[in-house]
Amino acid sequence: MTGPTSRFRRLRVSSIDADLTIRVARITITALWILTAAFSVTLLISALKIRVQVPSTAAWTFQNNSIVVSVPYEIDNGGLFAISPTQVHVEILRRDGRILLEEEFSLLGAPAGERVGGNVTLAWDLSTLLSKPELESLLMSDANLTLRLRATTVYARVFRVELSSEKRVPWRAPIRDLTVEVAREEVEVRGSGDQLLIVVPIRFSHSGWMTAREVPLSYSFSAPWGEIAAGNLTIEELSRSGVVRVEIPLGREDAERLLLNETVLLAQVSLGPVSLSQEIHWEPILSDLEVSEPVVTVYGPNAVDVTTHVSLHLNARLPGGLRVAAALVGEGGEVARVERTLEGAPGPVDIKFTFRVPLARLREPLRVEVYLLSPVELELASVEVRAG
Amino acid sequence: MRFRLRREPSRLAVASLEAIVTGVAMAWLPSWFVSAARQAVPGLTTHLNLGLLAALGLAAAGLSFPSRVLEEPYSRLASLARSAIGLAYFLAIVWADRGFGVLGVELEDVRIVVSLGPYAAWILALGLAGILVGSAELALSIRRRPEG
Repeated sequence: MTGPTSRFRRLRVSSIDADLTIRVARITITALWILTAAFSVTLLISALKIRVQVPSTAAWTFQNNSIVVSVPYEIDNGGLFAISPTQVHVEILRRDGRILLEEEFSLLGAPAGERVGGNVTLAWDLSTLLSKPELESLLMSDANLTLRLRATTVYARVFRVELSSEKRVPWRAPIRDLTVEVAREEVEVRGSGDQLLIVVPIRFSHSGWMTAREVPLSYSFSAPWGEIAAGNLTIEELSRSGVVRVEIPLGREDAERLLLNETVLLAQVSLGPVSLSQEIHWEPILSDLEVSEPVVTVYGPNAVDVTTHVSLHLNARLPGGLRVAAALVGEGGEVARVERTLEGAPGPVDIKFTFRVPLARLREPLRVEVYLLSPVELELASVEVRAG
Repeated sequence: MRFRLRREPSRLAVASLEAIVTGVAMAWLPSWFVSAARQAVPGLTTHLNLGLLAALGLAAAGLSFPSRVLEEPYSRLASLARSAIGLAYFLAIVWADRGFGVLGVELEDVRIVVSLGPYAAWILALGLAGILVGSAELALSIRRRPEG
């Protein structure tokens, strides 16, 4: 069939095909719009059912040169779509823009309809991140810092959600105005066996807010003739104020010198970020030692009393007391010995030693030797006995 | 140009209902939602241009009448215009200063940005497909238009 009739038919058929195609396309698009709208509404309602709880007070501690913060969190995903693990990036900046601390961590993902919780513990080793002045400044001085936080996650496997925040936060120094001093007036001397211990109280105080834990303290004490002692210890908990007693065991030579001589000790102490160098005027523990010339008095027809007075000044408190001995020594060795134990309170000490010996002993040369027995064994003086 | 109107009561009623629903959904709902959110969270700001959304919503609502009441091909033209306005409305929401498919809200120092990603592309594709089908419907309607 040819001519105008067939052309009209072809046109009509193609018009019917196009009409059908357009109708199907319109129905399909409308159906897809309905599905998309339903999905969007479901998505919005699901998103509104998400709850994230982070307590405002996190636990901060300063431990062994590291700031440690522990933040518990809970994600309650009441919606129909899963939340992927959240990547969090935190930066703390100084006013001039220098990044002081930077950390990245991730929070657990929350499957649909589930509640997950955890604890983020961040530890910044300040000694490696910051220079010493920066560290001191951060720990001991208030400042205005900037906290920059960025958290990124994927919701419903499709939607990338990014939360970012940059806010100025007033930084209150955790150990503001930390001061360290050697309490010179409370230095104690103790005997431990045949060793002399000096107990040096080191006082510290700060007006910050943080309880620091396991704070390293290093010390060295030196005298003009050399170093006496050096060491390290750890303060378990550095509260706002307290005293650390450093026990310094002395060698025999140092003990003798410090017992009897006035000198100046140099104490160098480092407590966390703070260092101090302080002179301690050292007064001899025993001073003004005087042993009187022994006096011989006749006691009956065959005996004499040899009496001597020992006086000294005790400048430090000796909790274990003071034990002093005097021995009458002849050519053949010790003839007699007297010991005295005294209270170790500071002040003048006067001890009278009397030896009763046979008169015949006076024929040989005698001498009185005075010893310190405690806190450390030491010969103090020796005086000849002159028979009148 | 003379327009012939179809004034059956049922057609007018459907057009009115469609206009009201469209107006409420597109012009009033975003403002209400943002206002409610701001009441719940003071200081909340969004990049949404609520004035533009309201204007586009009212235009779409207004076009409900010609798309229902006018005879073809003018009703098809009005429907096509409505589809184009709907697409512009969607783009006004998701094409802000942060780029295409990115929604954002700010609360003082906190900014939350949601990248819709392929979902935005999907909606854009649906909108474009609607316009394409609407154009085809319009073309077919013009071709079928009786002479004179």
